Amino acid sequence: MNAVRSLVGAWLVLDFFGESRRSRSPGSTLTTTIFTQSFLALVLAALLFPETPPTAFAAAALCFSTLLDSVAGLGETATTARARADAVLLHTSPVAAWQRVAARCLHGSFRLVLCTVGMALPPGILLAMLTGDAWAVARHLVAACACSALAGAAFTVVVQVAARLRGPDAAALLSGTLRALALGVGLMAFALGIRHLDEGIGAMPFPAWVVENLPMLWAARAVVAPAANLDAVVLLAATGMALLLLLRLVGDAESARGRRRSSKGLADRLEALLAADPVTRGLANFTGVMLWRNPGFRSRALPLFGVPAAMVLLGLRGATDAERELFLAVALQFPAVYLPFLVALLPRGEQPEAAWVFAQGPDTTLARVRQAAHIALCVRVLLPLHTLALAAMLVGGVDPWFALPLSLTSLGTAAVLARFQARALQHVPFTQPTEGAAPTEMGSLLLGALVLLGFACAWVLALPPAVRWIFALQLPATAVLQLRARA
Amino acid sequence: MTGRPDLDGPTRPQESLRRELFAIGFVYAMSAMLTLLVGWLSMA
Repeated sequence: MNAVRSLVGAWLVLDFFGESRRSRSPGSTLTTTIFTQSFLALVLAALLFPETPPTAFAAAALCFSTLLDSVAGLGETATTARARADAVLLHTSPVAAWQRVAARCLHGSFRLVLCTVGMALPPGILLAMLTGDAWAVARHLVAACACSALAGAAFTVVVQVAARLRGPDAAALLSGTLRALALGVGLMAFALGIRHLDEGIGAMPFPAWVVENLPMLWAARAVVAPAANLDAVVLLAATGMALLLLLRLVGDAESARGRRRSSKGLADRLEALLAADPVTRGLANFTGVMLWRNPGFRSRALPLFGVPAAMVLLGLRGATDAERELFLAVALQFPAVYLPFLVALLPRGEQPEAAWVFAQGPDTTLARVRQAAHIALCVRVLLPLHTLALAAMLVGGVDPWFALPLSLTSLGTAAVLARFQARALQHVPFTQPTEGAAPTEMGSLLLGALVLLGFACAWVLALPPAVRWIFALQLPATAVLQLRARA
Repeated sequence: MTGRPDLDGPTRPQESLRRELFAIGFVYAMSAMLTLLVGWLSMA
């Protein structure tokens, strides 16, 4: 029993203090999170009380706690590192298999209960007041823990399947993406739905079958009237069992450890095709892979593209066709406008020690580094962005004979400009320490942005369709020739 | 030693699980009291 207790204690210490150890800040991040979540749940419950009907009130509170728990669970960036550290700890200590399982169960459930109870207590108490049944508090607490556990298990199954198929790095990327989606889509759906809580399921701005099939709604019915809704309890239990079975099938993090697929993707092949020599190819591949794998770069670069994405979406709802076309043309120039920012972010990385790899190569010249960065930016940033924007335009009902040349021209402009922007690079990307970074020179940025936006306006307003196609074919061709040139 | 900053070394003196759990329990109690107050005021 001592072994189980020690393991649970060690894991809890990491839960509470792991983050602050890494960032070298005092105090515990988990405690702060629990404080904040508990306070948010109290505010939400107080806002909904007492006008909302009990089932809708319980369902809203359960959705809120489940959403926040899932977001917190998905956001653990150090999961792979932690799993490896755990493997060292478990395989070197005299612990029996049953003790390991018991410790995992105890730790998981203790952590879940700790995080969820804070969010479930205020709505539970208000629900008891609403229904006049004191046992509703206990039922709401149990339901909140069950819903969070179900959501956590469902997300774990998805992430584990990704880990099985594509390796732990792809799983970490998927987990981060799911987190962003859960946060964005979940909070938006919550904000939209909360206004129609007292009008019934039919008034919700979502399809009725989605709302009817939410486990949180089943749980809410069981909390308010347990005797009349035994089928909901059975349904929840069955879902839990099915998820457990699936988890058993896909295995745990330890068994997927260290599995990394090196299958070549489309981007790898394109980079290999464009790079003129093996050194440039290697550098381009390193830069390209690190672009989205580097958390610092990702966190700074991704928000930059939120504005043009929002502009494209807004542009699709524009009033007249002419306004819409102008708006889209301007929005599509934004990736080119942002290029200097991206190039300025490139040199710094979390592992500056990587520099020694390139220091060993006698052929790593600055010209090749710049050429490689140019290739990586075109293949991994500009091409996917413009492909996505083109798809969004076509789905949004924009005339393909306008969207296609516009997309090709914008991609070509950005790709040609990227060559000049990459000349600002002085080091191999991601090999300089993040501290003490030189301030970015942004003087010419505004001028460049104005020229690009002026070009976009002229393209839409002044050019006949035939001339547009000349630009649409000429600019990408120039870019490809530049990319293929020997550095 | 695993080479990982999150696992290496003993528990630091400032890292007391007992204190954190006590703090969380205190927050639960406070939030329960506040909720009761909010509920009572809304019903009154």
